[in-house]
Amino acid sequence: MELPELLRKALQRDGAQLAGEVISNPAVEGGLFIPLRVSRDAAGKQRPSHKELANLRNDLATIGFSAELLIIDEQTKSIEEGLRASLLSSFPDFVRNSFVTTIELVAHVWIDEKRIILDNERNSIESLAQQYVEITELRGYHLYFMRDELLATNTEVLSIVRKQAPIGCEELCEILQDRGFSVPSLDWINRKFDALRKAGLLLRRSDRSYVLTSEGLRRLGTRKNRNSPDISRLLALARRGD
Amino acid sequence: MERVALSLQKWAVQRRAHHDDFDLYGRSAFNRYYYATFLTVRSLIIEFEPQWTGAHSSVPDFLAGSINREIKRYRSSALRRQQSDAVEICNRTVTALSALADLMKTANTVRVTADYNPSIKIQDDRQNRFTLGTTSITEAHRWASQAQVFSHVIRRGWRLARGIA
Repeated sequence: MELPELLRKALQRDGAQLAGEVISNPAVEGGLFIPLRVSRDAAGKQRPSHKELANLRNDLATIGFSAELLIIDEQTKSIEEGLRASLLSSFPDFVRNSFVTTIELVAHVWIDEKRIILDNERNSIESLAQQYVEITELRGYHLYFMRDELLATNTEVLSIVRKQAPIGCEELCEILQDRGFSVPSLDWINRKFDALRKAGLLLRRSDRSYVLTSEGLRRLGTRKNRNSPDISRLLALARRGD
Repeated sequence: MERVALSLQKWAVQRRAHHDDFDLYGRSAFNRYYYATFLTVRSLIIEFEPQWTGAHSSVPDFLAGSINREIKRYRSSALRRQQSDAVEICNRTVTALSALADLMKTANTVRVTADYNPSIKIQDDRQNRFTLGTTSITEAHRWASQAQVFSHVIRRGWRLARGIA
């Protein structure tokens, strides 16, 4: 769209650089999306800074524009693309897909692995990410493996037990799968139960089902609102007809 | 929906010599990639907030604002009880919320460009790909699957925070 003179002046004054055309948003009065290019100086400080951008947004509001600033950070984008491409090409045997999101110069690397990744393979992935941190302005990285994301943690298991107790292996397996978790085997659940029992958080009953100990209950904490676990527990009991 | 988008993307490339067709198929592909992504995010939100009827542009603020606060409140209480696995899940959830908010902001801008700014045309990058504004179709193609990953992570954190097992 044609830039109104006032808008052009406001952008110029703050040294903001347009990264593309200004887009009008008909859903909002005076609504605009403004793609702005930001860069980073040697110290990794963003130009224009967050504060300058906030001021620009306020200035635009006083002349009647409701502007959403879209920060286009080409440096970061090309680092993300580069890291992703290296991961895919370096580890085709175990990395199916990957993507990188950068927040405050920390790269969050999400990896969809083809199979269980061995320790030395994990180390190679880490050292590749570390190289990127060393040669770019990135401040650090985090790796997330999708397989881990699909396994339930102790807290999640305890929380299901709290609601459904007494609960056995097969029942927990079913509930976890309903929740979108992957369950490697019934033995995995057995070992989980066993570990939690040894940690003093679960009790095993003679019929091989499990309930929380008072320490388990305390560890989970509670809430005094409509999401209270005590109420969901009561509702779950009522549903079961006990 | 993603399949529809991909077909539109392919048609656009096939019709690249016909400028009007290229533009129309191309921008429709962006639009469908947006909706594939939006529906994923919306079903996540209404799972926890059944009454939610936010506008497209309100999604990023809702993710980065109210949900984020709810997760962080729960994280502090998990920290007090030394539930380190719950704290870890919260940390990942906070990251995913921020990344998903960014993604939805970009994607919504592309939707508004595709639907309401016809003067901004699809640009051919000569490698069987094209861009609209500052976003390439390859990037749009990845939105929905990224949103699914983030949604899974957020759902986990949100469930814990709500005590829903």
